[in-house]
Amino acid sequence: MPYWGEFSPSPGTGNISKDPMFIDAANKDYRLDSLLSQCVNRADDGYNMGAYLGLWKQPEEPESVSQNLLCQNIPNPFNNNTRIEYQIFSRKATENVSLRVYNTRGQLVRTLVSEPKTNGQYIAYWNGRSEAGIGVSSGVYFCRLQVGRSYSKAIKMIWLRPHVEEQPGN
Amino acid sequence: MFKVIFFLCLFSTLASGLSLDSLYQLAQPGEGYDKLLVLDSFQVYEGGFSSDNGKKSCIHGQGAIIDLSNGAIQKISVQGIGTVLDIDRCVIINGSAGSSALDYSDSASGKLNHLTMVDNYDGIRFWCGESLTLKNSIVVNTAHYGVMTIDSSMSFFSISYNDCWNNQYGNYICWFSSC
Repeated sequence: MPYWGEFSPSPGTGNISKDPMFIDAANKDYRLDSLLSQCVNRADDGYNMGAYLGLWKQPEEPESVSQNLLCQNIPNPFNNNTRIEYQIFSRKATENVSLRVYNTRGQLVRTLVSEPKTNGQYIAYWNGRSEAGIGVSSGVYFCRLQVGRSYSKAIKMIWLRPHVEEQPGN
Repeated sequence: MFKVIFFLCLFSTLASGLSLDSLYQLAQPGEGYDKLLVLDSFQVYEGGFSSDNGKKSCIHGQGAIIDLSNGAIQKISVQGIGTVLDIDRCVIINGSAGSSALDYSDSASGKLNHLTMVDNYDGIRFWCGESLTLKNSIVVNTAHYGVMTIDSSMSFFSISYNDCWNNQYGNYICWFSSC
């Protein structure tokens, strides 16, 4: 016999029922008021409940800094700018580093970085434009990090060209 | 007159957000999923989508806002055997009347972590799904139920460390029935 019933008092551990005290819900700011919200630091991982984790907890250090890394671009797919984080580790004082974007035919679309770099973490951005500043067509592109002669890694990025009306007569 | 129409079109194009459905259709495999979407912080994405049957998908929201009210599909639907949708760190708002913002059914499953769900009709509906884990999330101000399960006791759901508040007909509701 089917029946309806409220979980009593709640279906699992750690649940609460309180006003989360968003900063400004009317303007779509759903971060929590850090002083008033009961959701602050109440998640099981020690962060805030909800989509915004809070800043109180320091980001964890990377597991290993003794390697070259190329992270997946964020956001992906993208139609404006995308952020590409990478890390350089070399036993030399500097290492020749290049970060280049290629299309699916292997043609070079844009060189984002091409210079000697010291060890550290870096961020590059790509706005979907070629070397000549022309917007590329929507599709899959590859971003390849080359560190010296020994390290190379590529990620796949999806570019969605923004649809903007052409001005009449142009 | 033509110029007025042109600028209205241009303005609406520039002012409108990204369609989540179009991003989902283009998403590529990653992290062991058939489709992986990584959204942009504080960007507003419009509308929902229907997850591909039998596919495993994941959305890393990073604080992005999904406004269901402006899309052709005004909910996120996950349906069918083997269909998986895991979501984390998204704000999901304005689901359409009469449906749930997140709708898992027919042996679908998912892990929901760090979601903020506001002003939907039903927040999450789990209807004869296989498994659902909801944790570290906020589900508030729905017009109907916050978390709704319709279940034959054959499936698994885990609901912990959430704030469910001010949902008009109840924060959590369970209906035991045959599927």
